[in-house]
Amino acid sequence: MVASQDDTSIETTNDIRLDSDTLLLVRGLKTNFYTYEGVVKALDNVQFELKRGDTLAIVGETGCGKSVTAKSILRLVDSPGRIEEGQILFQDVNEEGENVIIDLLQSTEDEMRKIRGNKIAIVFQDPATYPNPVFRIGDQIAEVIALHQDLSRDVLEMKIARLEDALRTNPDAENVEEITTRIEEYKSQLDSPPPPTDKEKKEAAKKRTVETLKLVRMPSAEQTINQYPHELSGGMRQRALIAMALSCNPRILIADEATTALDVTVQAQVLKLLNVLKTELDASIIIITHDLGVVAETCTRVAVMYAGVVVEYTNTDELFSDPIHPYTSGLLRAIPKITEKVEHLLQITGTVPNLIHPPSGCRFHPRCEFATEICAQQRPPREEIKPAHWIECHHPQGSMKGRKR
Amino acid sequence: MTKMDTKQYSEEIEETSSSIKYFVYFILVLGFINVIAGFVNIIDALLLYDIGTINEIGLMGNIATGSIAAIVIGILLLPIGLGVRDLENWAFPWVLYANLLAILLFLVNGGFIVYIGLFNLFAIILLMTPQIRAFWWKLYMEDMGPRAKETRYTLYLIRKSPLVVAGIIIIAVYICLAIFAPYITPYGPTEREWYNFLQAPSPQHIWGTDQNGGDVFSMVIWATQVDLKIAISVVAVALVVGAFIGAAAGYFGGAVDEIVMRITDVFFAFPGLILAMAIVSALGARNLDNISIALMLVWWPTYARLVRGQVLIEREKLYVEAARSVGASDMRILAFHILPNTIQPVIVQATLDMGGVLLTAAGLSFIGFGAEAGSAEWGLMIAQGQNHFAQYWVTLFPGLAILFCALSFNLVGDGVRDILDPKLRRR
Amino acid sequence: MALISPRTIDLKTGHAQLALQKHIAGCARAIRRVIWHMRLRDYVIRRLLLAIPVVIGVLAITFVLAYVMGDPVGIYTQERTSPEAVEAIRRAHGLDRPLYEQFFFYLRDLASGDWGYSVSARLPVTQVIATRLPATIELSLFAIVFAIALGIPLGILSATKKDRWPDHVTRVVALAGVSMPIFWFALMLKYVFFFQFYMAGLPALPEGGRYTFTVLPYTPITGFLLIDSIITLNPVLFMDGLVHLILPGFALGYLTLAIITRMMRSSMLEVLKEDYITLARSKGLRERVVIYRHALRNAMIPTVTVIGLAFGGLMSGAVLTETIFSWPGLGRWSTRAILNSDIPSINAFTLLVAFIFVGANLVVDLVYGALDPRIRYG
Repeated sequence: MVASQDDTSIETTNDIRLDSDTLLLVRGLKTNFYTYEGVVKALDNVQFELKRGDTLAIVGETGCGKSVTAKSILRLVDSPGRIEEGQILFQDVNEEGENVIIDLLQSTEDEMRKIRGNKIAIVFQDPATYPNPVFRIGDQIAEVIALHQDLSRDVLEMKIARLEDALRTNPDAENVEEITTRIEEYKSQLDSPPPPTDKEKKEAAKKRTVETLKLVRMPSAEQTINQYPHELSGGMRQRALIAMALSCNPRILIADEATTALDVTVQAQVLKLLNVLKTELDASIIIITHDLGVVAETCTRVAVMYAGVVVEYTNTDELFSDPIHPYTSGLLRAIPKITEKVEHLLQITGTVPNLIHPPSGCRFHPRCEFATEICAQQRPPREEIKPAHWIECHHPQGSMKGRKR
Repeated sequence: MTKMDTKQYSEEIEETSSSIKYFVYFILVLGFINVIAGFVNIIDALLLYDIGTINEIGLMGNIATGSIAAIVIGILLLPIGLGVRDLENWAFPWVLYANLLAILLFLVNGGFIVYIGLFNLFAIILLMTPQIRAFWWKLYMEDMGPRAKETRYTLYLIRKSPLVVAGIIIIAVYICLAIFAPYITPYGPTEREWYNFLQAPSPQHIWGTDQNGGDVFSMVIWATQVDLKIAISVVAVALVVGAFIGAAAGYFGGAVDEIVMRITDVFFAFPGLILAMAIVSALGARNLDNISIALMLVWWPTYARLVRGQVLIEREKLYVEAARSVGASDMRILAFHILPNTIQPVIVQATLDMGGVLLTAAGLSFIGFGAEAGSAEWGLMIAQGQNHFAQYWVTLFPGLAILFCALSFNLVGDGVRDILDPKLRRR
Repeated sequence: MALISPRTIDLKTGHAQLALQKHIAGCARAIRRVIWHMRLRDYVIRRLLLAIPVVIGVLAITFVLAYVMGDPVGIYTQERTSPEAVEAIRRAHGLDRPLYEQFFFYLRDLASGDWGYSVSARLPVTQVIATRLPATIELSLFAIVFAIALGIPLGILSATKKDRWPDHVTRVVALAGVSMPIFWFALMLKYVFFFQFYMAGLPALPEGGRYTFTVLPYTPITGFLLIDSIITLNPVLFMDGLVHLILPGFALGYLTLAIITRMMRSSMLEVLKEDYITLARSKGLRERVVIYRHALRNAMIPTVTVIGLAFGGLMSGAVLTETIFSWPGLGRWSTRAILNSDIPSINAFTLLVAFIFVGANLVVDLVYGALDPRIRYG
């Protein structure tokens, strides 16, 4: 049980050392929306981390701030929203192979642009509205590749392959010697390739686009790159969006309800695909969902959000076997089980609170059956109640039931 | 609260039930009076036409706004009165609506029927007395709760947007100028000091005089009456006719829709001013009435299209399905369920079109279609001043008058459109 | 066997230039192009078919208007012409036939190029149109090019700098544009840039006309003054024509400019809220690329429609502007015709303008199809 003072002391220091396998650490994230009715405190002190190779799920009801968290990580929150405070520490590997820690909220817009789509990529919810309707799928993917990737070596390899191919099919061409010397020349340049022209770059990006589309198991990828979004089905469009996100081998892939708009069968396929790709590309994934089934199937760690707060953060197995926060246990109880026949589906009474005037203290207390006076007065501190199991609650349940603070 | 609740509620205040009885009598008698007044108004209008005070258009307008309105509203008051007797929820607000509409139309019509309107006003006053109000006000407010909240929010947004407020103020100023023109102008609309032509602005003529010695300031203000009347009448008629045709096309669909849309296509194939020019030429005489008729013919397709589009959207919505499933007739669904929900974009379009009609009418009158030479009308004044370069005031002030008038309508229309746009609304 | 004999390998493309291969590749390219054109052609044909009922309606309306405008016999008769003679004239011109037959004659006359005789210009209508149409087109094109070239950047600027001073300035300019009576604006321009400049001894812009006809000789070849002056290599005439275009072009284009700016602003604002813009930003693209590549093309779609509709306003405005600037185009002719009750001219002018407007909207539809792939294949 690490005491909570430890947490607050870390928050004040500026030079932080992360575990070498921690990829992303979100701390004290606060995002507000300034609307006509008042300030919507969409995120309040959100805290979680993502380890290398993990699949982290962020679950919660509609309007609890999951998507805002995702957009905050990439600093894509549109006005009237604003990220007020917090740290989003991203551990990157620089060109020398050293680990560097970047605070995404402190970096400049230029630095952010180099990270978006390149190091951290996001797949959005609705495949119908997210691809740009007036550009071909291939062009939209190639755009990211040409933007972030160094394609000079690709271009050179492409040239060599092309000439070798021509030689092989036409061994009796008139200028064989000239061609072979040219191939030698190109091969000697491979270590320090010359900058390619725009046209060559485009061609190389197109080649990579096809490769990426094949990676996401897009059938007939060569034809797809010439199609417009409206000519593809929802599942195919989602695949194209995933390909777009994966095209630069990002270190973190955020899937913001990426499967919600799809049919159940397609949903399963896409989820399976994401997990396969994770191992293939050595990426870490954050899956944002309201579907606990998805969480159980695909994720290793879970952060449960309620009204802009991460109330519980632990391993998936642990969460399902021993939910400690009353909200989480309520959620799990609300899932109907196929083996039991019940009269009424269990539910958590009440609704998600209005975040302009969030409940004082613990934001869950008006709906909580264990709430006492302290819940209304004081926000519970974030504590590690069991090893690798963090909650924010005054009255933990489950195996920690009855524990006095 | 349901109807049953109302009845129980009313039993508690039994002592007021006699007042409702007299109120019902009054409404029924009022309906009778209105019908009679409508018929008398027809005779009156025919007499006026006979002695030549008004022409055919005036006759038709008189009958439409006065007689038909009075008769229709009078007949409507019968079921409304019976509804009030049975303490139906819907009947009470309809007493208000019907009588307000009647008063408005009577005022537009003018003549003796305005005094009949006093009876209607009395009905509204009775409706608002505490005894009668106890029966409906609370329920009505509950019913209107969400809508009232929306309206309050809209008003708040309007107040908050300075451009819209400015537009409304300018429009109000123009309307005041039109109404009070006789009291604020030093000269009449056709008054001339022929010996004082093309005088520079001076204390006697603050905006100078034109080539005939007319006072520019007075003429610009007198012209407000003429031009606003054209703009309002054109937009009102085009709106009503267009909305009716468009609603029918959208609701019934099929061949009706196809024919109406092809006809509007043809009208849209002509630039507005040029079609109006051709129509005025065809009508023969060049005067402001013909300009109005031509512009009405040019403008109705805009509203037909707009309303049709809105109706097509609304028709598919669930509440229409719900209304149909409880057996509401086509006319009822269209009039009570669909049209009220299409009104917002139509209002915005009408506001924006006021400016457009104003500019087109002035353009027509500039070319020489307008009123007879020398009368006070902005476009004509500019046309007559166009050769007097050294005397800029002859053209400058009427032009500014048009500019600000059109600008104010555009400001209001634009701002309100942004405010009502659901995509931009909550920010 | 020239087709399969070896050639050289191209160093750049790596294509072995076998004639056969080249031939096949060429064929494939041609086929692909044909397929694309076929899809586009279907779209074009569909648009053209949709225009047919409109054209018929336009003809019907002009016919009815001409019919209502007055008995055409009036032109050929005098007060003392006997009723029998009037009747004879009527019969000779087919005016005693039923209306639908007269409509048929009307169409036949139009198709055979007999558009009547313009009393006001003392020339056949077709001849008047031939001499005056180029002037109007030149003026309208100048105005619309000016309006598009300035309106679209202004709209983008206004949308991207929303609620900051460039936005406020642009909105005021645009709002004034749609609220300004075009004829008054033209007069004021003339007053300032011709009269006041002239009085102040500054280089004033010309008062009206297409060129300084008192000094410069000009014989129309194509009728377009600027083109003719280039053909005849006459820089003095070219500059003179251009200077004459400035005031009327600006007066005429301002309204269109305002309409385009407003539409561009609002559609840009709407597009910038779309999901695909968020996606483009999440790719790490520069804001400039997001706006000019991803947003602009989408925002252009409604703007292009409005440009088509604004063309109608342009034709209306041409009537007023040409009158004020003594521009020898169709508009000025039409006002003169109206004041002289010259029915064939009014009728021909109305018809012609409607045709131009319909044609302009067809062009707009095609551009629309090119911009929006969803429409093209729909």
